[in-house]
Amino acid sequence: MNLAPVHIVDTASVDPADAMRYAELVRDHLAPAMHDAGAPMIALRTTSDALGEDVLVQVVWSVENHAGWNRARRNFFTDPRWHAAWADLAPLRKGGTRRFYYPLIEGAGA
Amino acid sequence: MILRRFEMYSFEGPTSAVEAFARAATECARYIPEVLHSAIGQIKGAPPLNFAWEQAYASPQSYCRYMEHPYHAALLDRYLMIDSPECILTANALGVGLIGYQAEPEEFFLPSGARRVIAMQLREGAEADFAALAAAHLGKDGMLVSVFKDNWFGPRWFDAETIVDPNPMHSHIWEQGFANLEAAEANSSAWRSEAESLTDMMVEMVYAIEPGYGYATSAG
Repeated sequence: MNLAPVHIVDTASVDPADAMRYAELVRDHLAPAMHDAGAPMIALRTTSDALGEDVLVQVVWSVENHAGWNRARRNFFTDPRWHAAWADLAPLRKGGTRRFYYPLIEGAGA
Repeated sequence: MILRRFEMYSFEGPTSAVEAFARAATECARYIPEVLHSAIGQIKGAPPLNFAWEQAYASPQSYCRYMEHPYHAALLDRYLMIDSPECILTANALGVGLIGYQAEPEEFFLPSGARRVIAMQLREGAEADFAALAAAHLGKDGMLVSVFKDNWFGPRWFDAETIVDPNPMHSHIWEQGFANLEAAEANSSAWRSEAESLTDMMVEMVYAIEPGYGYATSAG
């Protein structure tokens, strides 16, 4: 399997009342730091808030390969903006996952 | 020379998650063969620290293969990075998340038993005296391993070459080895007062070695 490009998919379960705040923090504070680190955001989406359950806010970051992710990791970890963003985001997150995804069949969707 | 590396963690979270990380660390060398001398341990008596992972790497290139491996990013970091929702690592101010040194493997090799790892800020000009102290206690009171080195890895955590953190909290490391945990715990008084007089601060971690996949039965 060719492990490139890499899409890092972060899925956070969030109280519906906090979902917009969480998304705005990601967009306005976390994403700029991640972009400058070399891992731009390519998706920010949510499940419905009308299901009577926590919503899942999903963010997708993109890097060219795992060496690129390692560089981005060093860059954002040494960026005070990244730490400040997570100080605000982490308390809003009730659970979730981070998974790394790769193309499986060429031309079958990004 | 080999690159000796320690990660000392304070974990808080579901037992299943701590066990999952322990399994991932223990099995790491199966998937990343560049990881050498890999063993874990439960740190005793140094709260909030409760988990040790010791490893070694043959070269900076080997270390970079570990750092860039999907197993590291997707599995190990799942439990270590605050941006992962499954993170169980808690913040602490002890500065031992990543420390290490350069040495010959024969210096630290221990097929089984227990470790005491002391991270320290050495007082100015005390290096020779502390080296003499560490050398003097090798072979005494059950101390089978005694390695005293500067914390070379702490500032170079990214690629084992570039200095990312020019001012790590700890300047030096003293790694001790014993036949078992009881021997490690029994050996703690003969050197302590002199060690304290040569340092501004010490963080001391004792644990029984739980060998991981491929843990060497010989130093070579």
